Amino acid sequence: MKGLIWIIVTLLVVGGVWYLFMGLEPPTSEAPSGITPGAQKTIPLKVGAMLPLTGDGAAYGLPIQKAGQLAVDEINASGGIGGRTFQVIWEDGQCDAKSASAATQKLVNVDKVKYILGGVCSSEVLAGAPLAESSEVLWISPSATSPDITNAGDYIFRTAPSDALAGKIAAQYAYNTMEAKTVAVVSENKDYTQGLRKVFTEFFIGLGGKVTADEVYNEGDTDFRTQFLKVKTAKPDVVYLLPQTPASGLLLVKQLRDQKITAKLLTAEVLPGRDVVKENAKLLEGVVGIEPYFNAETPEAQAFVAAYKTANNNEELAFPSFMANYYSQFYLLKTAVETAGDDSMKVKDWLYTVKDWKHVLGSLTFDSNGDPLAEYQILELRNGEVKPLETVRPE
Amino acid sequence: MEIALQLLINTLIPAALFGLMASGFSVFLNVAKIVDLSQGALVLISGYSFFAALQHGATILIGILLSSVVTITVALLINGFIYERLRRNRKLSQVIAMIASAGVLLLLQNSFLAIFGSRTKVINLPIKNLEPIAFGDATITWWQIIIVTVSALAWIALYSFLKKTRVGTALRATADNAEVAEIVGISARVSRRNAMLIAATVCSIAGILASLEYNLDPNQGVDIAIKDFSRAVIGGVGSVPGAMLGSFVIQTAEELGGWFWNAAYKQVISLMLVFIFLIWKPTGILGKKKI
Repeated sequence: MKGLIWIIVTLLVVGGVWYLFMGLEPPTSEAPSGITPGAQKTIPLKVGAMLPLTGDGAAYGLPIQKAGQLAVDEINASGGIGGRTFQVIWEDGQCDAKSASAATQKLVNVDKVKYILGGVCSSEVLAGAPLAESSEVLWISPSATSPDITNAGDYIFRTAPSDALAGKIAAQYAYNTMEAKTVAVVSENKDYTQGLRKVFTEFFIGLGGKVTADEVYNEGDTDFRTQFLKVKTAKPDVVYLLPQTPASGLLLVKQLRDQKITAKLLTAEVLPGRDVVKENAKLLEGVVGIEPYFNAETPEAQAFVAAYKTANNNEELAFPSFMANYYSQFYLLKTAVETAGDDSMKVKDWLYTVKDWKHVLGSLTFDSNGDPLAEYQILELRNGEVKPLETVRPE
Repeated sequence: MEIALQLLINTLIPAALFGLMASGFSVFLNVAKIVDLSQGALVLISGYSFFAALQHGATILIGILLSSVVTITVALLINGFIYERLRRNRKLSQVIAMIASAGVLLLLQNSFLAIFGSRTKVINLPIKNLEPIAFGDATITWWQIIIVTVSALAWIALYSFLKKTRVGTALRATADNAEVAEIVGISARVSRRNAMLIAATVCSIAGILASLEYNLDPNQGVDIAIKDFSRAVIGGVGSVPGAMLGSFVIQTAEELGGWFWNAAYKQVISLMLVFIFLIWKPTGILGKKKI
């Protein structure tokens, strides 16, 4: 009897672990046989991919991963990179500097990858960048937006624009369009949100506005009532909310509404996640968000969205802009390796010459810091949907 | 004045809710001498089962019943398969038991992630949302009133159960001295199981309340476990009134510190309090002896 119970428990644990791994780590695709002859050509091209696959950050890590996997599957099925397939090594960065450093160490020193695509959170990229830079490992992030990444290194690129722009646009929108003279800023204590907070307050004060409350909370906090009490007594025209993940973002809005704070709400790109908005329609009604612009109307984008839905049980794209970025990055790397050769230094040099590279993400040009030139979209959350208000191109 | 009232309300809600959790935690700690961190996840099990039941069309009442059945079952399995097993053949090492409980906590958290996904789950009860009540500028929602009331009632029930019933007396006897209790015929094993049963019941009540107030997220378990532990330590290890008192002390310190100093340092404030108590008064406010 006891033996039987042990066997059952062991099976359950093994099954659970297996299930977890299956869920987290898509099997690396086998090299398609018979497409190209020649032994050397069939060595797969190793790519490190670090995303937050567990923790609160998994809310965007997982959909972005699926978008990347779609690109890998497509590329591998259609002949790969000059005959070589992508072999992706997925690592969990947990949206956290500590895990991201460990993951980068592993990718660079154990797996010996020359390219890393990913780093969804700014904390992940900022933690991994020094090692990648010194080891000449090329890094492209689809969504890390902290202004500090601009100077993180020559090998560090990203396809999402710097928050040095986003914060400025948010400040201008709050001051000019929402006609706010006073704002309260409530932000999570993370690289991404603190970067945005700094730029926003600077520009808002520069425009002539006043920041009447500036409250910070820590990752994992669930009670923001003290912060909101301060916000409430400050009576701002607009509250600018900066959560790192939807988990704390939803709690923020809930507790803010519970305290009957009626100021208009402005936020960045986290809360406008399409699934988040759909599931919390009533709570998020009227919130204004700002995210990098992604034109979903182009034929390429529509094909991508359709392919994504087919591959993932008709799931809506949660963060279309970042997901398109990640999807396109694999194609960008493919083109880069095919043009410049399998050498991270040459690929890096080639990337700086990229001009108006057209793909699902739109049209891509890197500046001399490896940041893209991009546009922003201002959105309003209405009835569980995202309504675009206007598109802004930063000067 | 209104600010003081709002600060009081802000203190009351988490203090009552987490005080209830810490009391259940305290009962098991006192009887089994195990710092059972996995109770952080038990709270979430209750919340997630409640959520899943409602998703599948269950009524609120059935949801509550189902979630308590699931929570209690898992708790008894943890107790039977892990903690009792650790005791076999040798004296229980508290450190090993605590590490095991942390392992269970992480295992359960990751199971939530695997089963329910990483997205925050928000429970929308099929009840019309009532407007928050306002006293001048201070507000409290109906749910928060329910949370405070239910927590208080559950806590009173727990306290009188321990004081008034035979099972409660047996539990206290085992907690005081398990060997002597064995001699007069109180099985320590049964007492430990009963203590886990009580802790799990508390977790299932608190879990539903917490899920309504703080939503559901797989990573909340660790935070709850820390809260349980710090509140139980400050109040007096093993004392049920102490756990509730400790919760009010911590919460008041957090809210006042947050208001007059910086709200980002709330957790620092409460952990500093824990340190101070561990160094200068390790028995806590109401505790009599060390664990």
